[in-house]
Amino acid sequence: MSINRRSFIQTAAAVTASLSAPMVMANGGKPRVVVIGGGAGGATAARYIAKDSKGAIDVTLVEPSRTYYTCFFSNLYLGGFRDLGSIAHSYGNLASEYGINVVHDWAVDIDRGGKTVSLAGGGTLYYDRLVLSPGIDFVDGAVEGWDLNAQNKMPHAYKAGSQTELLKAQLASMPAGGVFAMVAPPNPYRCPPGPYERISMIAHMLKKSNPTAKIIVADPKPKFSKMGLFQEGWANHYDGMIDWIGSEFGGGNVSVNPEAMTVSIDGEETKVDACNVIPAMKAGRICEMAGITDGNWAPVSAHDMSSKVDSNIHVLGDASAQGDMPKSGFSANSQAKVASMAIRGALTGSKVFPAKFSNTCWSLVDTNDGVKVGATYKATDEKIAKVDGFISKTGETADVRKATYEESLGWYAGITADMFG
Amino acid sequence: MCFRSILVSSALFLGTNLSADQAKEEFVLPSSVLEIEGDLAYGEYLASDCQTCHRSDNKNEGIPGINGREITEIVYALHEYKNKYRKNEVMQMMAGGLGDEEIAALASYFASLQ
Repeated sequence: MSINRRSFIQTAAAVTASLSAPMVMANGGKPRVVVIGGGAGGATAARYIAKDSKGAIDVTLVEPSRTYYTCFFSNLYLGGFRDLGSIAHSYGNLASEYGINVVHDWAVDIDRGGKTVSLAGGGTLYYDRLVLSPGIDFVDGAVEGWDLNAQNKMPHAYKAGSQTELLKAQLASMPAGGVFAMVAPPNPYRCPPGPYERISMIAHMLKKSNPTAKIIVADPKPKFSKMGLFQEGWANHYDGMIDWIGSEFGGGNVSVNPEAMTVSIDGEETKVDACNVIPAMKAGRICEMAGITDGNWAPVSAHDMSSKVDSNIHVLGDASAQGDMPKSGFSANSQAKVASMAIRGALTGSKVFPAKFSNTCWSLVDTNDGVKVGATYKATDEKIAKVDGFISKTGETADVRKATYEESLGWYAGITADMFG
Repeated sequence: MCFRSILVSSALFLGTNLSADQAKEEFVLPSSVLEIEGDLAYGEYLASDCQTCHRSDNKNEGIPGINGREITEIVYALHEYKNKYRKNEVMQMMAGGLGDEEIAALASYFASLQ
């Protein structure tokens, strides 16, 4: 049993019905894996470890939210291509079909010596291997004038759900000919094409509802993911609507005033009607609490995603510093499979094969205008290293772009089934 | 197996269709490649990367399910993508990193699924 009686009673209200599953009540000496974070990395890892170990490993997934909204495709909700319900997922199948103990609580401390995880609800979970897949948090003070207290006036919308809803509502409330500003993040950050797909989707929405509105992007980078493709799309679909200000033109010299709703870019202050601040990012704070970060991220071995500080902890997805893979849901899902195989091998003696990774990021520029970038990767002793890759080309036919978009719909259905069962 | 039937039935991965011109050309694998016996356990691991898109429940929501297909069909499809005989950048990339043994392992595993 991974929770003692006292803590079980204290946390019972925060725990799903899956607690009645036999392996929680008495794990019978089975090795225990605790997974923190139920997104593309954590949900996939929990599912694959439970599925492939066929009950030989006791798997507990700790995730505060009962409903998980995928960050990927949340831009399509902003653009009006998806409703919010279509990017919402629950953990019911992971509990009922795979016997995973799903605990809806916050992990607040990790004792690496004692191999325990403390929960906000008062419980303690014991682990033989721990998987941390907490996603991102924001670097304090990254954008002058903005902190989490300002997230209702100037949403980040970089953790999907209520923040995304809020941003959409604010965009819809803009006056005719109003101004929307985005403060884009510095590298590295979650979903490299994400801010620019978001600009595209917001432009798509405004073009229909508020065609004289303006979009300003203050960017601390001189270039960005799929830049040529997005700029081609913006010129084709939203000509004159989007003003992207890169670092060479002062895009990194930004401050905001959420009370006054102003944005200052390189000393020039602009009154805005809606503003999306996407600050610099770091690993989810549980990594820092565990003492496994170096700077903003948690370095891992490319062979099994184990922490370079503690080999009993595996870090997946956005939170990890692993080498060449972008921080994406696809990457986290791919890394989860490598880690799951390694963890099963360590705990049950199952066969372990050399790590292989892949990633593809699809982005929607406008209706039926999809673009993509992808790569395969291998593990080296130094890092996860890129092997091969591709990117959509500018000037592709409408048929190719439509097929790319339709492919992304298939991918979304596939990866969410792969995560949540 | 009739080669044309392979082409028609295996225009499947990530929903790519072959053009008429492509279908006229011949892509033939040597028997030494076709006779490799796939390692099921290795195939199961490698397949996990495919199943991000090709769903394990075999449902088709824009990207086809590939469970239960003939081994030869899958081996041909992956070699055709690897050699850029068949179009789709994602599949060309995914297959491009696979060796003959890995393709055989994947084909054996997917063929074993319902």
